[in-house]
Amino acid sequence: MNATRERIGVYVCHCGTNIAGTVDAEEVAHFAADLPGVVVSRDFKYMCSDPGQDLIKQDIQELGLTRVVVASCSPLMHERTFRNACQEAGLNPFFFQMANIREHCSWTIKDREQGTRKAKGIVAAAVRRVPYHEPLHVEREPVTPVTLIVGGGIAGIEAALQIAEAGKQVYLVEREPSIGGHMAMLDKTFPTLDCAACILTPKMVSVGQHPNITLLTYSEVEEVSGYVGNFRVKVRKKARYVNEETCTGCALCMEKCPWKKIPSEFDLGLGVRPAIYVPFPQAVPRVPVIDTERCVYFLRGKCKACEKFCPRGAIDFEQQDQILELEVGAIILATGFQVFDPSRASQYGYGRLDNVYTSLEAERLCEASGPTQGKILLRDGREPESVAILHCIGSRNKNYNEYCSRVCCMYSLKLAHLIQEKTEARVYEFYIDMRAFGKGYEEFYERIQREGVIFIRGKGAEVTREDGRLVVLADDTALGRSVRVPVDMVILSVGLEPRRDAAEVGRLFNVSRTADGFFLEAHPKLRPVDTNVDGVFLAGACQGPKDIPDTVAQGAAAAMRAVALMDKGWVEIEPSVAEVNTALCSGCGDCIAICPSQAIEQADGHADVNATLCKGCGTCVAACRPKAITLKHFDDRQIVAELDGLLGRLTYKAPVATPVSE
Amino acid sequence: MAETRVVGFLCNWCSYIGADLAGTSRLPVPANSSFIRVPCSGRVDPLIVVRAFQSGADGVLVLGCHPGDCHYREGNYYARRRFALMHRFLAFLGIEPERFRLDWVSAAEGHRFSQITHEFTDGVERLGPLGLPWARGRERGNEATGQRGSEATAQRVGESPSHLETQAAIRETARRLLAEDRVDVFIGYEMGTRGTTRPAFIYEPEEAERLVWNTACTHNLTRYLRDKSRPARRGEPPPRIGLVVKACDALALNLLLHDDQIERERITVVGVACDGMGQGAGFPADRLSDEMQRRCQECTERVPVIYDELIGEVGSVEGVSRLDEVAALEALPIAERRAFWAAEFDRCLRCYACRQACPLCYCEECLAEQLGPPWEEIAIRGPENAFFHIMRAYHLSGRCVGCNECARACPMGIRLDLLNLKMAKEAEALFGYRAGEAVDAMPFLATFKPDDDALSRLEEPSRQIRGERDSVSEEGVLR
Repeated sequence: MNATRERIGVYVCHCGTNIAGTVDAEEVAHFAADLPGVVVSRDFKYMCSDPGQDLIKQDIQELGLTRVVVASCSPLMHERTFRNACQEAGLNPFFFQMANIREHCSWTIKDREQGTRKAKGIVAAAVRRVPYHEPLHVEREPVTPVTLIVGGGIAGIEAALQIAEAGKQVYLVEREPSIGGHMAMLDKTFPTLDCAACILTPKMVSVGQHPNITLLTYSEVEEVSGYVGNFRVKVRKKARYVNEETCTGCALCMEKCPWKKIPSEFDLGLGVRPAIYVPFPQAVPRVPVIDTERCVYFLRGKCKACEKFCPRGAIDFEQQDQILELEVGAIILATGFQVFDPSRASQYGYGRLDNVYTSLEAERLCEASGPTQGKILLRDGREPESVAILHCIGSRNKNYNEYCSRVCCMYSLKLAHLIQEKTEARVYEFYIDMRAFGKGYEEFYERIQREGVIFIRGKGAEVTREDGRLVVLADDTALGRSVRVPVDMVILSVGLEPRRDAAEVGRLFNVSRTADGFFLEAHPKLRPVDTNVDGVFLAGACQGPKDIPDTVAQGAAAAMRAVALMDKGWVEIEPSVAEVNTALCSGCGDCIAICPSQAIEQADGHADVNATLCKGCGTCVAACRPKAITLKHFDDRQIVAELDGLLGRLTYKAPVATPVSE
Repeated sequence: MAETRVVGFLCNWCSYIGADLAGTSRLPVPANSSFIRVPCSGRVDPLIVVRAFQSGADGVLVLGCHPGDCHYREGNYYARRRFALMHRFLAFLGIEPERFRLDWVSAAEGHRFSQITHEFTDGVERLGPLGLPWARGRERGNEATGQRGSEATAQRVGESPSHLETQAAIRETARRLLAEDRVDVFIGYEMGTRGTTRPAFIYEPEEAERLVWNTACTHNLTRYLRDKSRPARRGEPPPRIGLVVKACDALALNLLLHDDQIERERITVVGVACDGMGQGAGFPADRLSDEMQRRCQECTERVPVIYDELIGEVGSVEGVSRLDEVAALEALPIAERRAFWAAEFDRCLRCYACRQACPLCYCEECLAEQLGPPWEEIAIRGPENAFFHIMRAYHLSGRCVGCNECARACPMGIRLDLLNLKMAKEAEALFGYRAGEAVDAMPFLATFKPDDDALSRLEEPSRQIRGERDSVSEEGVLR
């Protein structure tokens, strides 16, 4: 192909002052006008605006442009916009190339001369590249109208119900024996003091009963393959040793189990459970599991008390793990959070001093069905006379987590209220700043102040034991002096963290994470529930610390994204896939071994790419010695032309000023 | 001082977004660095990096997703291996290691992107412009000195009567294989004009008398296996081949078998216990020296790793390492190394004799001769010559068995052996890989380990950045 035969249009965007502030857009357009093949070069205030797009369309039709270059923002922002504009004017959308002179240039440079020079190089690269573009066609693939939701906390529950209500099938996978997540562990919720169980359990029951929801508890996702619209997922359904079909949830087995003193995970070790158990009374499904590490039968080969007494014969010691293979079109990650482990901050004495609790443990103490039946008690069974609540444990601290966990101020206020309600105790709150930003939150803060809680503006520095009592040391920044407050009980308001296995889960679903370890959304403001993987959405605290209203909102939003995808019914398949020139291929097989998508096979002595499986990474292209494989839209000619453009070299003959080095 | 220029390749899913984030967060990025979007760091052919240096880049960055976070799961693992090798190879050719960096920037690491680009660009600026003698736009190498590596110690080839015994055995074996109709063609050596020894293709039992064995039987006959395996006419079964292999040649057999280029059951391998080949082999007899070729001086195995019939006795000999010369070159100051190679590449006539002699250069159409991609121009001059030899060395990494036929075939005496030896040395050091030792060995660039040892040195810069962040956090306790 003779590159100079193409008729290229170049459009340099000012983006208001975003680009024009440090890049002389007019000069860049003048420069581009002299580049080979360029028949028109314009600068415009906002290329993405309708008039901007109309400029392109008009030029395509009137000047017969065959290639279009827009120098503006990141292609991740507006590539689609301009491709569509080209298409509407009758040009193949892949004859378009974007030059990123905003994120990669004007925003990173202060000096206008440097910025302009760099922008010229970037534009020259795009102009050099675009003649080598080939017309590509986007194929459509149908979407499997089923959603997989990973995590059965309030985020996953909300998303599942919304999708099911929209008439679509849902698989809800939960690792624990019951759905409910952290919300099920809470007593009351701020700022309304609704009982968490009262508002959560109806939703849990709906999930369990909804005909469109397949609930897979005690299950974990093991493998994910495929792409948006057509994911294939392997789920391990762990053996419960109780038949879900026949069990009625009468709990007789739990009563008869001889081994009852096992620390309950749900009660964070404060209460006990038998070896066959449901985690909490309102569990959904209310089908027990057998803890094989504690069950007498599994340890010593005899007992079977549960089997003997089960009126339905539901106990099945022979049950095996099952591997389910699911086909789904969309995936919602709602894997939640874990609380900060305060034994990492040993100055607070957690795990070392009695009566130092985490806030989540305090929730269990407050709850009526908890280990103390809702009584706030010290380890020795006495009621505390004074309680200190220490904010920001593990949050806003460069040693642990730099971010604010968003919920701790409010739940600390709520705990103060509950303790004062349930006991005569005097409650102290040690805080850095009070963050009461939500609807009704500030009012709640004021109410708690009126209720007589003592607020000390200063972070708790240390907890010690003196004369049998706990003493909290802190700098009161309001008074400007240090204080020592003796109390009976200390509650550490622990922050929210990514789950321990967030990295592995991220890898499993190919989702990136932010520096703090939470899953990364596609755009912090405009695409808060999408990820960089099409068809994988986020809901709840796995994306960042959130309170219940925000979590529910995000759950519903993620559901909407999934439903929209399924209602549309098809997805576009990127046409940028690998292709084999069989005349050049010698069949060495390296590409077959390398391909991460298993998209290449040996056929007739040479490699053959399956275009539906190919995801377009191009790893095979780099491995192919005779260059028998090319990657459409990222082939060697295109990349080298772009390279030479950046470096101010010619790939075809025409006099051009060197753009970058003068 | 002229401005330096840095080019970076950013993967679409992590590093490009990280770079966008640096922009969105208004973090500074050096003005003399520009970036190209690629789908994956695995897409970046190391030869594109070579091309970038030739096109005038003074530094090249390749940034991808962190290991384990690749959007395509594995692309960056392959990139890591390729660049671990190429990084060291470029240094060998005289490009300072600080001019290349492979690193990882996630979509959330705008700060890291800014930091890495600054760190890297600063390093490149300290070195100044690259001034590559074989950059594009330069017609000839400038400060070429033509310095050559040290001469290896010479060893005398024994003039043993065993050569004649071996010769008789080869003839007898060939006659028998052809007479019993076990092979259709037998490949060995015969005398050519002016006393040369050359490859022979024997089709009839009585022709076996032409076969010879002497210290000039240097050619690697596995080179002919692919061509001779093609059926004479379409539809006919491919011919069955018998051939003579020396210990060095046999390694190439394993690679060809691994790559499905030949069928084992159609080939009868006649291994010959070899005592070494003389220098000047392949040329008229008067140029044949009594001194052994360098590779034979190094050779420790007399017997091929793979054979059906063996002529001669099993045994091994003491060898001297040829890596001495590689080490000597590595010890030179980088500018001298650059000059050395500029002079070597400058002499190249692009006759492609090296390629034709190579049993593993079996591509249907060599990249050097493909039109279209702006890889290489058909011109005999520094940049094109350099690219050809770098490409060839890279493409043969993990495949070159050290038979040295390329260097022997080179009419200009270019030290191609050193390029291949350097690649082999690094392949063994980085990945414990030795070409051709087993048929089922995976080529080291077509596989990876998530915790590749190659990583250790390449990832040092990242650790520094994390280290800095950690040291800040020690004192940054909120009060």
